[in-house]
Amino acid sequence: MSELRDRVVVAGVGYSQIARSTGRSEGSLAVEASKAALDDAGLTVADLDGIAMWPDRVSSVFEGPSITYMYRALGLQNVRYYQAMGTGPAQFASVNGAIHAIVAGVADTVICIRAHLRQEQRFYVAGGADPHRATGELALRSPYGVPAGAPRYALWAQRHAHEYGTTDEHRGAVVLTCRAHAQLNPRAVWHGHPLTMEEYLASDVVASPLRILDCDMPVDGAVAIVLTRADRAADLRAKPVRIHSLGHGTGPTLDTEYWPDMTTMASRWAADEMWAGTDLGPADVDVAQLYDGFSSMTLCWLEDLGFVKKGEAGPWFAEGRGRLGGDLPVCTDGGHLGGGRLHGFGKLAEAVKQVRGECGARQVEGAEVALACVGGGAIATAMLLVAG
Amino acid sequence: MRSPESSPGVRGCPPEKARLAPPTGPWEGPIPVADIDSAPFWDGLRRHELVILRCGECRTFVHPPQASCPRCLSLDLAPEPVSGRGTVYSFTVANREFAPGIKPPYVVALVDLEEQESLRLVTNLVNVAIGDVRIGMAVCVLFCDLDIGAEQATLAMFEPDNQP
Repeated sequence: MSELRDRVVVAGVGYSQIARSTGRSEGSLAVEASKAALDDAGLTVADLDGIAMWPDRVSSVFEGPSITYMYRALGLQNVRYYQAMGTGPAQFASVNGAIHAIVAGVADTVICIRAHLRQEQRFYVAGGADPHRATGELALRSPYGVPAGAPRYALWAQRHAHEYGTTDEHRGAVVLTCRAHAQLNPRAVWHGHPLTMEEYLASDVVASPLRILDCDMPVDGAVAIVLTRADRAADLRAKPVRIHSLGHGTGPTLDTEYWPDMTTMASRWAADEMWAGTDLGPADVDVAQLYDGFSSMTLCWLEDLGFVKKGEAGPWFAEGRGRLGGDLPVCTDGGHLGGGRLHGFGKLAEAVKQVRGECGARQVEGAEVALACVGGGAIATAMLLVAG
Repeated sequence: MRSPESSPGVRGCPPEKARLAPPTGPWEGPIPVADIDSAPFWDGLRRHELVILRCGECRTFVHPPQASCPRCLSLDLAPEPVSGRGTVYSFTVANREFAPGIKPPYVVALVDLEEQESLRLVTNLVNVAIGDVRIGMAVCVLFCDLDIGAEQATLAMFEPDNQP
């Protein structure tokens, strides 16, 4: 049985301001979210003995304050665990590291922070170096116009469509599910902007088969998560939520373009590992925050987690089964498609708030078991959260 | 049942009949920089030869270029010419400037070479109409010298393979 089962709890979650353009620094957003998470937990900076972040500011294509900055900005002193992740199991790399550290007894209470600053008028090219010189792995794809983002995952979506008949309307059903849920979440960037299938189908195709509305909505925003040992849960202000099981599987390769069968993502391996660590099964899950960086990934997650067979996720969403009131509400905060790209951390925060029963108009009644799943393509983490 | 790939002939997309040409004129896109592992691959392209590293012990082709054979961990890898023929595993019609200097529309494809299962290149398809691109279509290599001044760099693109 998994060593980490129920050993770690989410003590607190916190959001910053989330908007298309805040005019603020990523550090400012990160500190705001951190304060909110500590307040949620009823803890202070003095209670922290660990900090974990992803990405590593230096090497990643993605933005975010460095761990050095955050250590200084939060006034941390002498922590027992600190790590900024370069490459790892998707957007939860830092959370996984923090969980492992707590289970190993290396730290008791760790804060994980993801701050995202919308990149305006910039190319997503790794390293920050000259984008006209493609080195390392980028040399084999950037000159062909596929450095990052939509075209990389469009290749996966196209193959899934080829093998299983996935249609534009299937992907659109994911987008509409998220957008409908965003109408119930005042924090969502698309709150107050409902969407019809007609409007979705009329939106630009940016990298076939993906439309602009199949891509998550870039925003400025940060989320912080405070994790602690389960035996400290009684001291917390908020109702603790257990990390019940965790999977961050690696499949045949870590290379996005050289993955042999693009109809199945690393999510299959992550799901297998997660299910192996629990007696619970798909039928026990009340609410699922599935990664929706691109709508095609959400379809694959649902299949790879075993809720439906391969190729059945599109019709499942089209029948409304992922909506609030449906079989399994998915992306109840509007996801990243409807709520804004919080790069996975929104998944964990919403899962925790659902299990605590704090979601107001979008609350899944009696939710006790929630999934938070991040990543797509060759990287994935699946996490099962349980009340108590 | 297999469905046709999503039609690119919708709003914001180039017409399906648009024919994609190899790059001409000064190259404004990213320039590939070789390293010690990938130098044989790029050197081969400059000679208009598609070479792939091959294990001297178990004969596995290895791409992307790296130091070792993933099957037997041999470090005895050497470049070997391949046919340049393969099939399209997947593709996307790109309609944004995703990389600086590469103007849409263009087709990104994953081409699996005939020599070995999942021996795959990331590439562009050219000399084809956008609406004619299909998963599974037979393609062959086309060497495209980039106009970048004093340096020399060549990309391996692919076009429909009309050979029987």
